[in-house]
Amino acid sequence: MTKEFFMQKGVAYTEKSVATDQIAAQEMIDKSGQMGVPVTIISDEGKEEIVVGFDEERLTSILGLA
Amino acid sequence: MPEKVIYDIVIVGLGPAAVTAALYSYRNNLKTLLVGESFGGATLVSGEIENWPGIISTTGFELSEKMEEQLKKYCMDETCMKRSLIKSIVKNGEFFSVIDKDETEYVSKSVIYATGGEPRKLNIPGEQEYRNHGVTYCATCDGPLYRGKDVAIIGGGNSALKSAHMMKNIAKSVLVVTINPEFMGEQISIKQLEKAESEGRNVRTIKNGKTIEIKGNDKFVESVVIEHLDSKEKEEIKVQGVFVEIGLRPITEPVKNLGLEINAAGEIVANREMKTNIPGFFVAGDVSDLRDKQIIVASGTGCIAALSASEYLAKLGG
Repeated sequence: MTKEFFMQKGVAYTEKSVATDQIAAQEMIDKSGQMGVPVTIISDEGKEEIVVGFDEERLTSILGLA
Repeated sequence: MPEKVIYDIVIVGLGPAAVTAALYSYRNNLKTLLVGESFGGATLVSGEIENWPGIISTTGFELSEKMEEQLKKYCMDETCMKRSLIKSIVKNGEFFSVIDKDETEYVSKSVIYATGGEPRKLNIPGEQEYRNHGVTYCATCDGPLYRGKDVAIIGGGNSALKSAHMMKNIAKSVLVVTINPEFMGEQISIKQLEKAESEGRNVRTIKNGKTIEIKGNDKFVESVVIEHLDSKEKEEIKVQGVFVEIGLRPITEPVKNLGLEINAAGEIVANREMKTNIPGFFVAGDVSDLRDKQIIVASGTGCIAALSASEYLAKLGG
């Protein structure tokens, strides 16, 4: 759902599969402090926002899509 | 103001039951709306599927993608298929009023309700606190995050067995705990698990074991406490992951005010034509009181519900 949301809104993103990429899996756990998927990391000038799960409201707000 | 659309059928859900019902309804040229959150429902996270006729092996994800692709042959826009969560369904005179999370109302002469279920919880100390911090309800989604770790699978049915087989190839060790005296899934799957254990591989099974607590370090899971029901002894076993696979709880909150007959397991009671006690309201798949929670059974009931709804509409003169 997160990917579809980004596609619908025309948001460019990089996908990392924690199922096959152990480094990405550890990065996800370290940054989000939890082990549920999906996790979206939004970077803006060195500042990172972490969204756990598909949270349309938060994604919309952080990305200024409203 | 545009006149309100009145659908022949609103189908709630996007799993195999709902998708099959939609296929039959679209092909019957009935004014149909399929509405649900994500394609595949529980199938999406079913992992490997090897009991769907005609396909030797696939995954829940692939099968769900194919279902979506197939539906798009008949429906390309939101007049017939909508992604949204249904909040409530009520009867207003001769019509059903189906309301989604955004308060949008869909009016229909009949409803096929196929929302499936959500994972049942253990309701034990530590479960909620460590959810997504070691406690998970989806091995297919989260399993790879536990590579090289010790994990426990709680449950004794097909879902638990499937998760155990998946995790024995990923985790360092797999503990499978069932509260029952025996596992209750497919024999082929049970035999494979017991063989892995007897060969001294990374599997241990506990039968008659009640999971009573999940412990951790405030951040992540560190152990699980099992009470052996035979001896009443408690055993704390070190694990970093706990996969709860004890079945599904039918999603019936949106229809709680309809006056539907519900059984002790919380499932909606239906007859063999998938009719409920409310005329015009049909059910399909895991939310119904069918014994076998299988993808193919869900699909089959979706077909039956669609044909029954079609017959109902014909009698209404619609």
